[in-house]
Amino acid sequence: MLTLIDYGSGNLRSAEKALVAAGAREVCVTADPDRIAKADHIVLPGVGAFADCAANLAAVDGLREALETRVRGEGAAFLGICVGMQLLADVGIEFGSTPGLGWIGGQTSVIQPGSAELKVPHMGWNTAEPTASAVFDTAWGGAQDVYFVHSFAFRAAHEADVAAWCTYGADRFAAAVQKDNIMGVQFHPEKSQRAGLALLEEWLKQ
Amino acid sequence: MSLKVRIIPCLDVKDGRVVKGVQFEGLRDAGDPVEQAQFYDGEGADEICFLDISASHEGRGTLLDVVRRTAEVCFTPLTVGGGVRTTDDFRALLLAGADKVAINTSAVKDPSLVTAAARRFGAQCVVVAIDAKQTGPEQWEIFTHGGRNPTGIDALAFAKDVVERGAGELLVTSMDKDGTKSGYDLALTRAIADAVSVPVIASGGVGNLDDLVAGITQGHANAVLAASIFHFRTHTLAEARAALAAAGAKVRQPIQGNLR
Repeated sequence: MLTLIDYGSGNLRSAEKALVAAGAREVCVTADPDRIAKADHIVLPGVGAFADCAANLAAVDGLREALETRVRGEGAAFLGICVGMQLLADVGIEFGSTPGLGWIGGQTSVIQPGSAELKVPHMGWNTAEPTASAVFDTAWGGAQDVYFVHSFAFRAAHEADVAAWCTYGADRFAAAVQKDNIMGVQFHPEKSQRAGLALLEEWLKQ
Repeated sequence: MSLKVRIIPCLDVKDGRVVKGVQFEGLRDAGDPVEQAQFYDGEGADEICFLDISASHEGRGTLLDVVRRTAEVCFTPLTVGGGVRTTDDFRALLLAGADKVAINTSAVKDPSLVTAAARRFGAQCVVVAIDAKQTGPEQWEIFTHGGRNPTGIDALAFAKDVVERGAGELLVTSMDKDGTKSGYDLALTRAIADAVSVPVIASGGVGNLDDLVAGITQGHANAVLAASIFHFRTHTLAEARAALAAAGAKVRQPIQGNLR
């Protein structure tokens, strides 16, 4: 079973429809820790500000603990999308400093493309260049253009955790991070047409 | 390996059906918005925009259903605008499957809505639609209610103000040009694009592919929006991409067929 976590911070419907189109048989949209305890695949969406998403996650009784147990303890496949990916960091630096899940070392900070012509938010289709991730290799076989919309980016403490890079002007940041069963994508696979669905399809096989 | 220029087909929707107006008058009924959106999704649109121009509450209610049905079949970013007055209206559209919400009249009436929506949902989903008419050399005034009501507000000053309040993107439409097929108001688009730190979408007046190119090269926009040239199949999105690429703009090549 796949659970899509409903904690008041995601574009749930778009994510749900894309996961179904990518082959998920049963998508359970929930924040119920008992359901999460049984999930094989867990998706954490996230739209908006880091601090709001972190607060919403903390506000659901037992959710954080259920995720720690099921994902970090028992190895269920986890996918964070956009702010759901950024929450994997130790800390989010965005109008102050907010602790994240700390599952993948690093922090978030504002995108700095280094030219007034390059606007922030980083909004639109840009290239995600995979490093050496089996999921990306199998899904894409190379770089793909995918849809980004964000003003802050994940700065991984260890380059080895970066599964794909994105370059915007002078800035280079993680388009995806991955550590064992834990994966996060800064872009929106649910809004990236074929490239996004292909990635979700491959991730669902994990 | 860089951010691409976006080509955005726009669908004007009234009472759940697609229309296309000339100067916002004399509407023509021309189809089902979900079907149209799916067509553009298949053509590799970089985003799709629905602007609801229903006058009645019932008419607007049908929009949520249109957005819901679109989100089921399209995996393309979707911006929806029209009749949005409160953060709850934002939430309803986002939950239905919209990725960004455009506000126009209500941002003028109550600019604090921009701040409230940006705080609650993130600046990335707050698009302020600026409808402007030229009133003098390098001077434009904001109009509301689909271009009918003058406000006395300077468009450039308003653009800077809403960005400061948290708008993540501006959709700049020239009321002088809309429906004329004579090209964007490039001076208006450029004046705003050069003055703000967020992306700008050029809108209003596209009659041919050169107009799209000019929106980027001369208007300094980050995205180009057009309705009728795509809607009436005067040009395909592939032709638009080719024209922009030939002019040196970076465009996306959507994947055809299987990836591997």
